[in-house]
Amino acid sequence: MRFIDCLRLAKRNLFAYKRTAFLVVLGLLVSLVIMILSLAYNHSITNTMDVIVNDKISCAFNVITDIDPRKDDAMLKEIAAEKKVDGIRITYLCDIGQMITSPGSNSDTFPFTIDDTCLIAGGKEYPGTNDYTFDFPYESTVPVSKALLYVPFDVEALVMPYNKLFSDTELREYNRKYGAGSPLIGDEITNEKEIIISEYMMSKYGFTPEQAKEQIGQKIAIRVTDGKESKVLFDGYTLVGILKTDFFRISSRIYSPQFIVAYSDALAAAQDEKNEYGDLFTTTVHSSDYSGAIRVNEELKGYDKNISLSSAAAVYADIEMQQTLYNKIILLVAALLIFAVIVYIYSIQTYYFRMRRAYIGLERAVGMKPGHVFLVFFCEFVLMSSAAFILSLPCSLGLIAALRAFLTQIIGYGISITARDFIPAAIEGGVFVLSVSLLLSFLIFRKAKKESILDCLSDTL
Amino acid sequence: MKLFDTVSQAVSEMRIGRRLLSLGLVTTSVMIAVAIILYNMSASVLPAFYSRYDLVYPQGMSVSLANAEYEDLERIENSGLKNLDIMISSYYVDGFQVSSTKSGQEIENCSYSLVWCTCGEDPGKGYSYPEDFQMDYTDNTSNVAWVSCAESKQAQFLPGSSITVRDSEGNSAGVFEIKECRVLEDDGTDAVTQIYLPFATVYSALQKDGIWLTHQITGIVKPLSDYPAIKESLGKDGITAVSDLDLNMESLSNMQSFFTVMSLVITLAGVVSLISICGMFLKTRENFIVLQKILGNTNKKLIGIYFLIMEILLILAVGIAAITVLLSNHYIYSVIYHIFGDFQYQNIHTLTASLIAFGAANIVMLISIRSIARKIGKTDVISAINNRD
Repeated sequence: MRFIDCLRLAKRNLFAYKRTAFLVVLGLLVSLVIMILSLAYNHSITNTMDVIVNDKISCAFNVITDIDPRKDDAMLKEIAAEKKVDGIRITYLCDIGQMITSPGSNSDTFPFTIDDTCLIAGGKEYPGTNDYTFDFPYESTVPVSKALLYVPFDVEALVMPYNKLFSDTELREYNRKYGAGSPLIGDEITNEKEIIISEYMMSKYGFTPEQAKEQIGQKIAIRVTDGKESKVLFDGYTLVGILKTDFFRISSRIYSPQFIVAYSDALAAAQDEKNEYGDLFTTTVHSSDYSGAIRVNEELKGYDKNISLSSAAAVYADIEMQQTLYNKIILLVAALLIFAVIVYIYSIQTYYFRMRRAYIGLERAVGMKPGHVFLVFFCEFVLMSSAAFILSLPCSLGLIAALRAFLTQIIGYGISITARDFIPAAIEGGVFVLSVSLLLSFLIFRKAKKESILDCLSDTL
Repeated sequence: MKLFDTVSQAVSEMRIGRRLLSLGLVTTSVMIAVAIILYNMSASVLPAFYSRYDLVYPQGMSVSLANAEYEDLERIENSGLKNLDIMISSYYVDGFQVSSTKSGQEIENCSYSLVWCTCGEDPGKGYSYPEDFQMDYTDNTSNVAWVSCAESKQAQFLPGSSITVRDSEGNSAGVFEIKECRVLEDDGTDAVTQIYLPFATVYSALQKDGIWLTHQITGIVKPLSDYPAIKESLGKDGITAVSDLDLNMESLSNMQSFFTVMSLVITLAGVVSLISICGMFLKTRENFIVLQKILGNTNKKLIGIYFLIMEILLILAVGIAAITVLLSNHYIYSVIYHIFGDFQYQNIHTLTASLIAFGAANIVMLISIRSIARKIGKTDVISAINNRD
């Protein structure tokens, strides 16, 4: 007996026992609708919470403003070894005013803008254009006065060995918002006299992204003028990488300088270590999540340093806790629900087998091989499960629409379920219910095989 | 006797179909337990988190209002928002010039705040902004100005002297008399001069020239648990309240909707599963029904027997569900305690939730009784013998 014959016989049996089959399909349909609906809503809420929590995940950090890496190295090593610390980055804000004037005096120009500078590459000078497009600090379009959108010329220096260009959380936020891949074209800073510039800043000197890439590996310098004095800074620095513009749109970097160099003693010698705005070293202690950042903040308080938690962290840590609560409660609910669905499918199948017991006995009595009898029984379940699955899709969609309308009417808002939530839920729910159904049919039949033909036929006789 | 007879027959029927019925009972009770847990989360546990914010932010939180017009102030006050403050958009700051009325000389390096002087609850007392200035409610429409500046600038803002405020186009925002000038503590930096002007005066002066001042209304929400209600109330007037806590609230309300929806769906699914299993049981008991009919039992009595079976199962299911929920509550409490630490939560009303689930299940049962009645009514000897399906 071929599989196709079994399938044909199964189809005929289902029509012969259409009422029983209908009840089984109805039962499977209920199980499928519950599973699909639960999973779809779960996907929707998980995705929403995930978006909320990860929207500004790069802000999961603490900042220490009064650590001097040359004196506090032991402390830094201790901090780096803390449990919830993901990485440390130390930057040094270059005071351009001091760097271009003679020691002791300071420039009147503050802040410096890009049109105060020229990029020197390949012996040519490329003047910067202040075109009022620097909208990085603003999350959305605002009617900002043009004066606020000047393109600043700020340079930060990465201190070795804490010179990792970006943290894992920054990369995570960047990938989430702007697609997979590294925001850096080229290499990170590993040696003195290396510089990284953003694609945006390069464009202000007239370089297209392709032209900027061609400059990687070349020696460059920047001429800065404050109207009175002019000086070439970062002379002989090698451009090792270009950071993509969107990297400076992630929440932790919207105020960051877009010129990054390696810190060196020579660089420090060109300016005082402290100025009226405070210490120039900034230590950023990154954590992998907000609750981690809060825990680190508590631990860092023991160091008697000027420590501050990023402003987003407190708010987002609370959402993170809500997400943990949700996940843990859902775990309990899912375990109970899966148990209920399995028991329900088992009871449906027990009923179906009971109704079909005499017929199965008859099949065995006329000499059908047990394997073939099982295959027919199995095919019947495949057909019923498939019918239930096909019906469950419009039923679930209808129920979702009805629930949304009901919730909007009663409590003013409903959860929106998109195709992105529904399709995986339908697949997962379908696979779960169908595999449970087929597995249980196999177990029930295996148990039934032990019964004699006469026992099976007893109902008929 | 009749009732006793019905009950004893129902019990004996349950004994015969114990396997199928107990499977149905397990399914239904677990589903109802899940529904109660979800209901508890939605109705008791999550609302407690709103009040948790009262402890975390005892001083309340600043809320800014989008699409709020100056004319909406009364409605905003009625919504429950306190300490309302109104100021022009900071982006408009550069558009103003201030000059000394007497000398006509422009005063530079100023930052301007237009202040709406009021206090939501007691206008008589006035709302001070900044804290040091005791402004009167009536000052809102007056022509007085308050200044805070560095000592070096103090001479330009002597109390009693007047200043003229114009926008960048030269439109007059009014002539103001300096009421008070506070010297900011000298911390070595050049302190920024701030001039506080009454909003209503400036607003109406510029309005005469066809200029609508863009402004920002902010307020304080305290206690924070009132925020969802305030936000909803303002939303009805087309005003959007924005605060740092919006995402937290969004996340909470999403969870609340999810638990409400699933609690509803699973209650229904539990009852449907029970009814379908009872339907299956009924199908397997066709011979008994026929026999009872031959023995002279009425359809009414047979319907009574099966309705009683379903009702007993439902009571048992709700009971088992309540016990399951009580056991699960230990886990839920430990999770909440582990994540949020110790604070007063409302009691989880398992009994109330069980009764609601029982009520909802009974409504569905009463609806389904018609199909049971039809099934029993249609079953006769011929149909039982002929139909093996």
